[in-house]
Amino acid sequence: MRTDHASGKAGAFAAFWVLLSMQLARARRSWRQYIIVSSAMPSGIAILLRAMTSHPSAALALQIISGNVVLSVTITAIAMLAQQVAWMRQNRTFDYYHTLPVANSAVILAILVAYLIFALPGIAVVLTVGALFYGVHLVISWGLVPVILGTGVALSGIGALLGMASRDGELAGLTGNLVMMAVLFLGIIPASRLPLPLVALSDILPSTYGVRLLLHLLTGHATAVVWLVDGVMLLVFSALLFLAVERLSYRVD
Amino acid sequence: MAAFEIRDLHKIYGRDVHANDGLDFAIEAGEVFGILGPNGAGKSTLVQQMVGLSVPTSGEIRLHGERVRAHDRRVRQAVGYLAQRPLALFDLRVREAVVATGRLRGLGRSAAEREAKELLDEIGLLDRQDRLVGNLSGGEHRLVGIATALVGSPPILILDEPTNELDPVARRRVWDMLMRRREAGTTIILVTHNVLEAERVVGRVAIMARGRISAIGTPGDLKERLNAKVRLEIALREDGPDVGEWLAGARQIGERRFSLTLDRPRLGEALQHLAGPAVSAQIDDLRIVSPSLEDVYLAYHDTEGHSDAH
Repeated sequence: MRTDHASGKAGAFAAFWVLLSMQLARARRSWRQYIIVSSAMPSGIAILLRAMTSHPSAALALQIISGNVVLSVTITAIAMLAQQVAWMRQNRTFDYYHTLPVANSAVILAILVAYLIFALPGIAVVLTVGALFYGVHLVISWGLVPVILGTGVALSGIGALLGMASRDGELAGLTGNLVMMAVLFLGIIPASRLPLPLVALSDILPSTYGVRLLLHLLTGHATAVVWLVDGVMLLVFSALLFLAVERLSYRVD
Repeated sequence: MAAFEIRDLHKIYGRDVHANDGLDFAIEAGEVFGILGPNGAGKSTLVQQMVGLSVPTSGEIRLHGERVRAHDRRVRQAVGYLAQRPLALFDLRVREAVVATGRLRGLGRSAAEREAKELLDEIGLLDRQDRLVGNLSGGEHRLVGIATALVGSPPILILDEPTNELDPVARRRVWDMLMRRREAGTTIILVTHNVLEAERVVGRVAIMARGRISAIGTPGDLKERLNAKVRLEIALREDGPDVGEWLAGARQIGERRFSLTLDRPRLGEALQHLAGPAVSAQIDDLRIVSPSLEDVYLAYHDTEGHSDAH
């Protein structure tokens, strides 16, 4: 039997990698569910809207595609994550992490990033379906990586917050679906066609900035001003939501 | 120096649910300390405060002389904690679960792999190391939880009901593992209501009831306090007539088997009665038993934590 003790502290990167691997292991059981759920509805909506509009403009097509990409992230990051976090709180699953010498921020970041990764197949499916059905040329650039990452972390933050605040998974699922509906409408319908109160509502959803940035990136017109305004807003939302989740998950009675 | 000191600890839920009501004791470094008590006695509430998952309403807990705070990093580094079910590990394979926990405790990859293999061998799960934790039985979940509490050799172990759902072979294996850790100097805090098993390993024990400590001491000390009592175990013949009237107040411990606790001065009178021809003909077996830790537990667990029981 060994009697030497562990150092009692893992390096930050090593700990994050272990935690992320633990979260990603969930895909072993549920990968089909993640792919189907995150791609079926956004792809279906993109196809439905194409069928109902004759000769959509390139701008409208890109709005629909960008909106559905963000919807794909929303499904895993908000609807599914909210239920998962509510279940984790209810069953005291966080106790395992909170009794190990690992930073809570690393635990939360690993959960948020894992659910963003679960959304990636859906994003790829929506982009492919969008390009095929709308016949538009999509500019795929490295800029998509931070935008999808930022949108994913911000939306996962909302999902995790809903999960923390809900008394059970059922309520978390219900509220998650409501927020998802809001993202769907406010993300796909151009702001110019929305009534003023809904425009104001869209301003407080990080998905709005994600959709706008995506729209510009996919057309190859992401200017420095766009990055500065929408990129910074996305960053601020991501940071605030992350901190809120980190604080809430650390609550003690 | 004491590993843990608990000073006038109160934990109140809502307005008046006193889950812990003025607990005051210390656990020395290197000892095996048992916290016994029925469901709802406040054992798990106490332990959750000790590991920083919950905060006291008043009073304090000290680890190596320093006050424990919520999510205390020192506690997380020093304590291996076995919670009720390892739900966070359900999607991992058994070996991965132990390795991941070891790495989060600061072991390098190869050290974690090596230690996981040794622990799984010691606990009897090596042949199931590639199975998903979520697909194991309840008892095997417990074993995985114990292996994760032990990996990285934390100097203090807090184990909440470690042998629940385990078969006798696995139970024996776990107690043997814990005794080896005790010999290596690990402080072990056992929370259990399995009194008979705990008696094998604990150095001292606190008996809790309704949020208070009813009694604390070594099993020997506590049994000594009950020495004024003696217990008769009586097995009756199957075809014998009813002697229920004589056994009024006895506890049935099996089919036609009864346990009767008496004040020692009454023993002679009782034996005289049992030796009478009418009664002795009905008795298949008779034993006079000294108090066990279970007797202590049973004697104290209804005392509602009166301070005079200390």
